[in-house]
Amino acid sequence: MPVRTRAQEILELNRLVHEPARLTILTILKGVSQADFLYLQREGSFTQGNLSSHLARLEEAGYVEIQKTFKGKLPLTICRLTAAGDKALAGYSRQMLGILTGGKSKRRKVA
Amino acid sequence: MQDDSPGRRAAAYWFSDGLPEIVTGAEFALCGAGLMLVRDLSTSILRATVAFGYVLLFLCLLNGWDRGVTGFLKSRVTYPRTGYARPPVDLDRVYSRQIFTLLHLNSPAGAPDANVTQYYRRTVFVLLLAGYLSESLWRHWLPAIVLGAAAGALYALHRNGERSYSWWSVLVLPVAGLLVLRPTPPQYYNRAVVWIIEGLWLAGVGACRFARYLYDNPMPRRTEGVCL
Repeated sequence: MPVRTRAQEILELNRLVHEPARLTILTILKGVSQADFLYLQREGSFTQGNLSSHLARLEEAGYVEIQKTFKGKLPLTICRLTAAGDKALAGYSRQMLGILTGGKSKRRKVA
Repeated sequence: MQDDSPGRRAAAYWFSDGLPEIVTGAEFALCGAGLMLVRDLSTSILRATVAFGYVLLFLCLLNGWDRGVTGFLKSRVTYPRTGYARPPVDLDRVYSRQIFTLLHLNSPAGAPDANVTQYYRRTVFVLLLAGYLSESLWRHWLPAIVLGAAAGALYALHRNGERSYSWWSVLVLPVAGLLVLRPTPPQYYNRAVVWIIEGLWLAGVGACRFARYLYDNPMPRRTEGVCL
């Protein structure tokens, strides 16, 4: 079995999660489980357009569930982290940890 | 938990507007005022029974209504200004021994509210205990001492939490206790007065925070609704 180099591991990172803005969104949602657009915008210092586009990408991938409703005449967007998003974030975290520690944590676990 | 983790920030967000303290403080003050009213009942047994029932009702209010009332107020004031994040809920603390990864992303889904519930438990416990201790020994100077001890406990217990108190703000408690010293306190006076002072203090601290929050976060021109 070929030995995977660190470079290969980096190339295999989930790029959808790896992008800083999307990682920020997922991490915020991980902490609160659900939040509205305004909270995400303030916490992540996003512009409206930036946040919208990244949320759309995450929703497309099934990582985030977006519920759009109206409160009176105002739109209300509630975002939730899905199970797939949670798994992707955990997987990314594991991969990153493996890369940064040179697989030491994996070996320790096996031992 | 990591110091600046999103979960901890969300927990701190719960206290950012001072509303939880205003609600809890108002409950304490009302309970103290109620105890003042029952002090004139004819017999000591009747008085003790009514007072016990009153405190029981108060505890139920604290447990059940506190979060609901705070949530309702937040939906009108806080969420339209700075956004909605799921309020902390009581979850099992089974993950407290989890080993976090380098990126601290391994905490379970849901708002990590450990520090929020700890805040409630510690604060309510200290404030309630202070009231009972001040009555258990029949001394007119006890409220001042007990309030001083409560101030120290609140300062120490919340020093590293999401909602910490400055030393000068807790100093108000023993000073207020000294101001209400009475040479011959009537029965129930101590406990009632301690709870009123504590409640007013907590609500006052929350009101200061609330005023600062409103000043820092004026109502934005609406593009998004609020979550109820």
